[in-house]
Amino acid sequence: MGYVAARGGTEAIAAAEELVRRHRLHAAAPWLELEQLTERLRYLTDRVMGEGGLWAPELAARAIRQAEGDVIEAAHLLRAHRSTLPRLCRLRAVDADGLDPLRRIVPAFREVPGPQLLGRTLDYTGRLLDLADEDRARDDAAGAAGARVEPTEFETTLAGEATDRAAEERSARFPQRLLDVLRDHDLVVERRRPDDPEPVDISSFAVRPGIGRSGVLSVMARAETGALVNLWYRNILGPDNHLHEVTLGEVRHGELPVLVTHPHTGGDVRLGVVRATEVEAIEDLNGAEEDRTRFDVGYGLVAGHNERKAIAMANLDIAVHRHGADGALEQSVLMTTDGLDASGFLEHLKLPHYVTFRSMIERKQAMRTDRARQQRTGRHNRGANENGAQR
Amino acid sequence: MTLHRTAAGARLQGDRSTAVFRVLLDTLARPGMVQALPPGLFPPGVAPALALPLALADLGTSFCIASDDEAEAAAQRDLVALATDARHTIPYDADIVVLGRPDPEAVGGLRSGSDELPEAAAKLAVQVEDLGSGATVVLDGPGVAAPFAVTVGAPAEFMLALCDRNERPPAGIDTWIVDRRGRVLGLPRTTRITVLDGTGTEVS
Repeated sequence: MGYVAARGGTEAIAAAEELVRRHRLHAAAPWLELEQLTERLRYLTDRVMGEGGLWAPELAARAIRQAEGDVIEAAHLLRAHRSTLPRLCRLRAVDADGLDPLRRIVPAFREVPGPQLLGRTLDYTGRLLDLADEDRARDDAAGAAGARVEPTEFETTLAGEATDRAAEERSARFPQRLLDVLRDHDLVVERRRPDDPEPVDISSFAVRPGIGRSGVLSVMARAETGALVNLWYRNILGPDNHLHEVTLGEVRHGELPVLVTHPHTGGDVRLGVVRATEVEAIEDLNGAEEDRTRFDVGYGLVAGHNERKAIAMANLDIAVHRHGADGALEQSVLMTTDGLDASGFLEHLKLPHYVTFRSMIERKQAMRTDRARQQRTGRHNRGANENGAQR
Repeated sequence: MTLHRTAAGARLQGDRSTAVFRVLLDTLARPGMVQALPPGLFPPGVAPALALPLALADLGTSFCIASDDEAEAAAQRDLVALATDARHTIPYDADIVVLGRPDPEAVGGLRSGSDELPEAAAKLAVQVEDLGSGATVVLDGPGVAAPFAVTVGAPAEFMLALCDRNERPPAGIDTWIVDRRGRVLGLPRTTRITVLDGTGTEVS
């Protein structure tokens, strides 16, 4: 692999930067406010936060605006900014059971503990481009919101039922997982470990094969969405064949609390919440060496609302486990799914490679010269031999 | 209380931390080019070389401050620990090292990483009196358009010790030399350093 440091051209580079800055700040269109990005393009800001590895909606919106909508560039800006921030304190580890769901579905099972809560999803919308008059559509939506009457059923609970109702509400808000039900029926292989090792922090340590499950999961949580989906699809339908079709146990999107320990009281202090998408994927074990009477479960957890990525992650988690920790799939997950890595390498191809390419040309010319000389020498030798034979 | 007040003043937040980071980055990108730390960065009495841990360290970082004046070193350790929550440790374990003077022997005891883990090397800041004095060296390598001579504020013995540690990149120690006026000179591990004596002859 050849590289050459780029020298010179400083004025041209500065002019290109100025061109970007000027057109970004003085485009012939209204200025894009951060709120428009965070509230109207929520999937985009969530994706940038997930791939950038920093929960900061306003900064993500700034990055998207600065990158003019280039998602990987925006994630790069956010991750670079994150690297300059000091770590101020250690957060308490939060149990994902404490995720307050905005949406929760269990595709594997109809009768599950807790509700199937569709929530805000595009799953059931017809993929038809809405060409309705936008002003009228907004007016209609505002009118419909004003006319809606919220149910008052829960407000009229009798005093004696209050405790039951509270328990029901809690059960509805924090439902038991399908995985727990399967465990109760002894249908899942045991992959939990008795110890509780510190997870690998991939923002501080270089990622390499053999990093362990926490490292692999962290890499996938920060991976580029398209790369992860592609890797999953390649393994389902492509030549790699590391995955079978799996069934989804839990798909949740909700809010997780951010907790720190109070330095004096030792109690939990809630700093706020982050939204996350969590997925558990159930796989039917069918390998010769596997326990075929049970299932195994893969896990996905990503920042923001990004079900596609969390599902791919859960599927790949289980595939990495089934096909060996040091195998090719783990290497693919670790080394090829990071958007910054991949695009950084790709983008560098645009930098001047004058010296390396020049040397390639010279090598080819030298080979050609050498070949021509050999041919001439060969002809000469053949001619000499032929003459000798005649003599 | 004085320590707490000084630490509060020395704590670099937001833009000030970024400004120092920028100077450290630029001086590594352009070896031998002197840049000044932002003015009024610290309260009086805080050694400018402490800008390295004060800007880059946090509770996930380990650091070491070594000086002939043990009382001064101890005060600086407390200051950095209080301002950054970083953990003080022995030189070989430290991610960030500050030397109170250019001590050639101290350089030998720092982590320089390996071919496989170059990022495990220590980052080193060395406090000197004046960058305009000390040994003259000729610098070449990545980031240097053409070899040039510069004084580095540190004696030849120190520079030779640094050359020894940076013989085999990617292992090596990225170094910043900082003088009392807050001027910074960066020497990344990839820079080829030729140390000259008073007559301009190469010292080996």
